[in-house]
Amino acid sequence: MKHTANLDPLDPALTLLAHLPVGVFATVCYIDAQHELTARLRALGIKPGSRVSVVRSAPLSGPLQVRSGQTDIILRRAEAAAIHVNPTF
Amino acid sequence: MSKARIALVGMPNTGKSTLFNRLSGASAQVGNWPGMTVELESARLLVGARMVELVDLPGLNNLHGFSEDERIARHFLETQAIDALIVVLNATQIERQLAFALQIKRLGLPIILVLNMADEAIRRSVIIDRDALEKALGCPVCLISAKYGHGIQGVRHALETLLHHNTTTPRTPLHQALHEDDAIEAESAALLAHAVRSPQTPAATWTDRIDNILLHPWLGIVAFFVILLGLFQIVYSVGAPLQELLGEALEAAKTQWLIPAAAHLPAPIASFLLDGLFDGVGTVATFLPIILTFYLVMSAVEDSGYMARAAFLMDALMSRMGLDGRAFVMQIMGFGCNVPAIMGTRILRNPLQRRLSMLIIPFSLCSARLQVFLFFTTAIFSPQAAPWVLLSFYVLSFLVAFASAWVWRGRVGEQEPLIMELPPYRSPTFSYLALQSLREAGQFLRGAGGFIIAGVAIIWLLTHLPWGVEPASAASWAGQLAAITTPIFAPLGIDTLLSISLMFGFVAKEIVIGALAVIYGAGPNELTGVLARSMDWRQAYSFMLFTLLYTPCLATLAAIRRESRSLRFTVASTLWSLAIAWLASFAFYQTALLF
Ligand SMILES: Nc1nc2c(ncn2[C@@H]2O[C@H](COP(=O)(O)OP(=O)(O)OP(=O)(O)O)[C@@H](O)[C@H]2O)c(=O)[nH]1
Ligand SMILES: [Mg+2]
Repeated sequence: MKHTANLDPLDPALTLLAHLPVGVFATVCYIDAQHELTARLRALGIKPGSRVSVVRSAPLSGPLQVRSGQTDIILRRAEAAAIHVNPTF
Repeated sequence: MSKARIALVGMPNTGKSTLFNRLSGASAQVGNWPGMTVELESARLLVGARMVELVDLPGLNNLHGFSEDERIARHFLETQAIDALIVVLNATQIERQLAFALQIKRLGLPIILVLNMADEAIRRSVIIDRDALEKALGCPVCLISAKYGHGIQGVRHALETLLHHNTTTPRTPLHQALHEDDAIEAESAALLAHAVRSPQTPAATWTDRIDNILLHPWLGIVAFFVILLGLFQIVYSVGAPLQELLGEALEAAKTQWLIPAAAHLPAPIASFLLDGLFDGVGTVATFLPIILTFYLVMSAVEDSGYMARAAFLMDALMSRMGLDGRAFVMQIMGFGCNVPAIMGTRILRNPLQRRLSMLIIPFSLCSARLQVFLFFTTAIFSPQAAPWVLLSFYVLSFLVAFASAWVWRGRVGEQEPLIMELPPYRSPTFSYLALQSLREAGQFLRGAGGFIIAGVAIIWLLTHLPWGVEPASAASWAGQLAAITTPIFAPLGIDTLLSISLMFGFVAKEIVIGALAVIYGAGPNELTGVLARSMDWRQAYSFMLFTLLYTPCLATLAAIRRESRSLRFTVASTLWSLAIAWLASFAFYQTALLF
């Protein structure tokens, strides 16, 4: 299921949360995943339109620490690769 | 008037259990870890003139949640008669949590909205217009700090008013309340714009600064070991002297009062009371200060928020063994007692991943086994070597757990996603820690107490009957029993007397030391000396290795059976542990003999 936000999904600037450099802010554009996963992400504050950034990543391709508003979450790279974001440089 | 039932609902880690304790005076487990509460907990309290049953639920991520702990909370909401709900949100995170409250509101039950952690919200410049929210929502809204007791009176008051005007409202079935997700998002956004101001880019907090070190790619790993060592340093330096003192006090009480008092009793009865019950139970009791300090330190770690960091750091390693960072946290929680760790796996959604986690938790070195190891390491090894020997068992405990998971990782199939909140650090309050560790020690006494007394009594009978034989000699019942198991234990360097204590250790490890005290006829303060004379370091290490790896206790087995709902899995996991224990001890002892 895709959630389209106010952003154009064909925008070439679009990247994946998994590839977002540490410290760069981005806006979630859409999440390309099963309903259960999008629901869980939404519950933790990650949904189309939220402003997110990657705080750090764990060594040995471990999970990412992602910040959205006042909430920090732990997220594996595989799931972060389903989240399409638009960086705001 | 009839009893009212009120439930606390909210997302994980919002402070439901803290508020539950505040309101009812109960002592439910609290911890800065999403998924601390995994079962229903209830308490009674008086609100005005009305008796209220207050129920603390496991955290819900949303009403669609599918993990076991969420299922329990949802099932409760779906099936039980409830008069009102207290919806607890983290005020700081109201932006993402308000939608949850609106969803709950759709159930049609009377609700009180509690915005907890007001202290943190202020520090993070999240400003909430309580009155505006109250007016817009049409339900009482309380801004509180459950941890520090601020605003609790307001919640009580709101409850009283609510129960007073209580009219039975028709309830919307859960699945129907779920339909309107998009409408809820819009409603939540409108409310937030109206009543909440929260900084776009949060300022750096001290949590960030601490995490720069504790979550640093390699410093973080170093820090992990430093924290672990610090934990045991505290337990050693505070608990061990207290234990010695208690041992001396009990010994003095025995020689000065009990022996003279028992002088006129018939010999078998005096022996049963003194050499059986008193020595056995007394020796175990000397470990109480250590258990207390241990739980105190463990609660502090759980309440600090470090557990979620451990999950973050270890996830990469655990994912290669079919598990995730949360399974590692369960391994650490198992340090206290394996049973709550087994239950803690309810937060895992994939049932096979949950089983794999349950398979390795019994290898986690619990506080009951710690007693045995403290005792043996002090008795057999030099004061310089003892802490390292102890450390080696913690390392082995992880290695065996990891190896087991690695062997069976193929069974898990596709892993479930790891998505969890990383809460800010929170400083534990001393009063809470004291309460918590007393509660855990009390649980230990109640849980193991009966086993210990019964076990010690049975061992006295086995070692002293038939009456007249040399206690614990080959002629005694215990000696005869041990003769049967000799072929199994002899290759491990575990002699007949020790093997008897292992049989009782199957029931609960707390019995082992008490059993040895009775078997060797030594009081709380003499046992170390007796042990040192009766075995060498190889035998001692082999005995401890076996104790570490074979089944932790009946309570853990029962928990595995309950949680896995499979007798086959329970038996298989027991056999797996037993086989590993025997092989490891055998390999160690036979190799050590070469040196
Ligand atoms: N700063 C602050 N911390 C709080 C407050 N209330 C609770 N906490 C802390 O928040 C953490 C979570 O508290 P719990 O009561 O275990 O939360 P819970 O909602 O029961 O969590 P789960 O059982 O996991 O769903 C603990 O570390 C508490 O000490 C508060 O008012 N202020
Ligand atoms: Mg709780």
